[in-house]
Amino acid sequence: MIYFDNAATTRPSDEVIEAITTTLKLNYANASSAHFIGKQSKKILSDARETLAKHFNNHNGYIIFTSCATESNNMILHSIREKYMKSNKKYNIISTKIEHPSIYNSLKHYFDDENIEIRYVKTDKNGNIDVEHYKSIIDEKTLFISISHVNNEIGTKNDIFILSSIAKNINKNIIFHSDTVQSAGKFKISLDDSDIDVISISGHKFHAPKGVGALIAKKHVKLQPLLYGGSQEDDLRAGTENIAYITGLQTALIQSEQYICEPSAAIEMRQYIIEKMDEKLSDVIINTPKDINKASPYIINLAISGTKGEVMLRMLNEDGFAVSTSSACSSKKRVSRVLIDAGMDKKIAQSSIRISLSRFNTMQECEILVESIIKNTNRLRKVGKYN
Amino acid sequence: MKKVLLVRYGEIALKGLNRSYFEDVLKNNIAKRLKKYTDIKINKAQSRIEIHFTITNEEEIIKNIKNIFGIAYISKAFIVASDMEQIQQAALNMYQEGKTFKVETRRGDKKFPLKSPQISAQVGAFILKNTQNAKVDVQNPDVIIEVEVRNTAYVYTTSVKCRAGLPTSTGGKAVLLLSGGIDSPVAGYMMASRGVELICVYFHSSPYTPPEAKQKVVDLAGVLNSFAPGVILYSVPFTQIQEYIIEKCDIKYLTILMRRYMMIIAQKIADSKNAQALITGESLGQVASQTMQSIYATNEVCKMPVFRPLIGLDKINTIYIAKDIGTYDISILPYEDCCTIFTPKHPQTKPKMKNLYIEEEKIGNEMEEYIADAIKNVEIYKL
Repeated sequence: MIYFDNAATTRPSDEVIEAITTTLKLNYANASSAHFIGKQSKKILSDARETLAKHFNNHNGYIIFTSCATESNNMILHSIREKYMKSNKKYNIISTKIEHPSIYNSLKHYFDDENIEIRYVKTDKNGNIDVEHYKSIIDEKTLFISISHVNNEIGTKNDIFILSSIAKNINKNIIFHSDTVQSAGKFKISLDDSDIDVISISGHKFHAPKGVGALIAKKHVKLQPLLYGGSQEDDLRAGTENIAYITGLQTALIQSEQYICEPSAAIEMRQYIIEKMDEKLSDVIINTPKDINKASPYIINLAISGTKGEVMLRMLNEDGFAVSTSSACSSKKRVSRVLIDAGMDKKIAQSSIRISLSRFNTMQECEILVESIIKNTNRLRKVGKYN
Repeated sequence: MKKVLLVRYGEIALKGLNRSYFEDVLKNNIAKRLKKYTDIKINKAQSRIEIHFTITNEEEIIKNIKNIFGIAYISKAFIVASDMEQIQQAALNMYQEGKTFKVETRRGDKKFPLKSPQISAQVGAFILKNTQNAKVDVQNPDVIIEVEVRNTAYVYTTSVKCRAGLPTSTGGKAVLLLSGGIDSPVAGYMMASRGVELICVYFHSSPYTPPEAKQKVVDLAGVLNSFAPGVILYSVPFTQIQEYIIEKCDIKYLTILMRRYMMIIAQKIADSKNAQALITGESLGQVASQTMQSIYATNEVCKMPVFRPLIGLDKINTIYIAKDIGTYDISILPYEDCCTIFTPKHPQTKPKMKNLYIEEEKIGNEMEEYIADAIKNVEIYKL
């Protein structure tokens, strides 16, 4: 199976697996224990924290290890709700309708209050933010903004450095959060020299295992725990630290640094796939922005008219390729909320597939994937008008 | 005095000389269902089947066998000798203090010295004498104490109504064309209730149809198996045949042509398994492929009988049965099946045979190969 579903999750690298295994074998002690090997675990933990602080350029702030980005996202929303909001005062919160469900659904949960208005920034069909509209909806009552760095379905890359700066220029008290799950380990993200206050990351999107993530926040951000109990993570996240997986996260992040500097392989593969689709097939709509400055090279979302994304997925699967549809469900009634909310026609949304790359993919793999897509498109289009 | 579950049958009791055969099959079907319980013994006893148990909970036994065709009622009974003293004591044990009651007796053993009304009267009197507040109410009693006097005697108050019908396999073997819809499982159930052993055949159009659509049919076959043990499911890959018809023929005839090939394949499977009929969920006029003309066209390729138990049934009644047997909730899961993925906008509702033959002439010899391929690549599920 050739794996092109890296936006869903990635294969842990050998080095990550080795780091985890070594830690599990040698450093199994609880980081809160007073004995020698406990202290060793504590040291490993603080080293990992240091690596993250350095990588994300957040030297004086918080690095809270969590189980995943969903937990991190929930934690920041919970903190905003508990630490920043006064009863009977009116607030607004800004986000987009094309966020990951861990933001989109959670916002509705945490801020279901008549005094709180959730304002959604307009986006175009490619997921690009309408900056003028964004500016127009920020005001003195805006408390919190959450905009993802890279959209997980379309692959659109927002300039969160500019967006956070625009926000702070209008209202300096705003807390600017970004879900950087699809960009951490792939792009340089720096907190100390930007107006971004807090980000969420997840290890398994950049070759660490599932089950470890982090909430990374500047010092001034007031945080409130989701879990109570012991005093781990500065009293902000109770529970024995998952030292082994945190080591895995650290290793993955260190490994990623060379690819952040040199993402040309991914850019070339993306370029190849998009160009070949355009060249060899008619009526292919590239949903991902074609401008590489506005897109992650790791996510390509495209709609092939006369086909159904979920059927294409199964045909590619039979040919040995793992891709995904934006609509993960096989039900005929459901389509991707994100694609529809981005303003895409339902038929286009239904015919979309997502090819997502990692540093493990090769150009040769892309070539045979493209061949398989072309072959299956022709097969589907033959019966397409009845299907 | 021992507890026993008493299995009573409906239609089997009306059988003549071959009744014993039906009883043996039923007993065997029950035994198969209960083989995991080592403490259970099953006896045939004068138009009844007794299930003896020592450890297993009787409710669990009932749950396991209540859907077996051929069983009309299961009663939780005491089994005692055909002796008035023991019958009376069993009835007293069965009676719950404070409830109004009446006693009804069936005397299978005509040599028993008392007649049925006399037995009822004496048992009733015994209960009245030995309890504080017992009261007889023959019109509307809280509880009916039933006494059956045969070689031995049974006393019971509680009976579970079951599905009756005829024991599975006494009615022969047939191939059910099972889709994921509401109708075909109901058709299978109805024929199974007449003792028919089912071989289900499902045509899948993978990769056009999702794996969930196949799982849905496996689940439906599982429900049918709970009524008629021994169901086997054949999942036939049909995609190549569909694509070929689309390529060669006028799309208006797609559905009807497809159904003709489904019948041909189903018959080949039936022949190979010594089944003697096909079963479909067709109901006259329900959809384009179920008009009389369409059914004629489909039926024309069939050499064996095609049973269509829903043919005159209103959809509401079909849904009622589907809900009762537990297939409805599975059937309405929204996964497409092979019949719904390729649908012409204007299907032929009244196909003329002449035109159909013209379309079929466009089909080349490859079709034989595709049919052979489909049968060769069948996936078999034993449920």
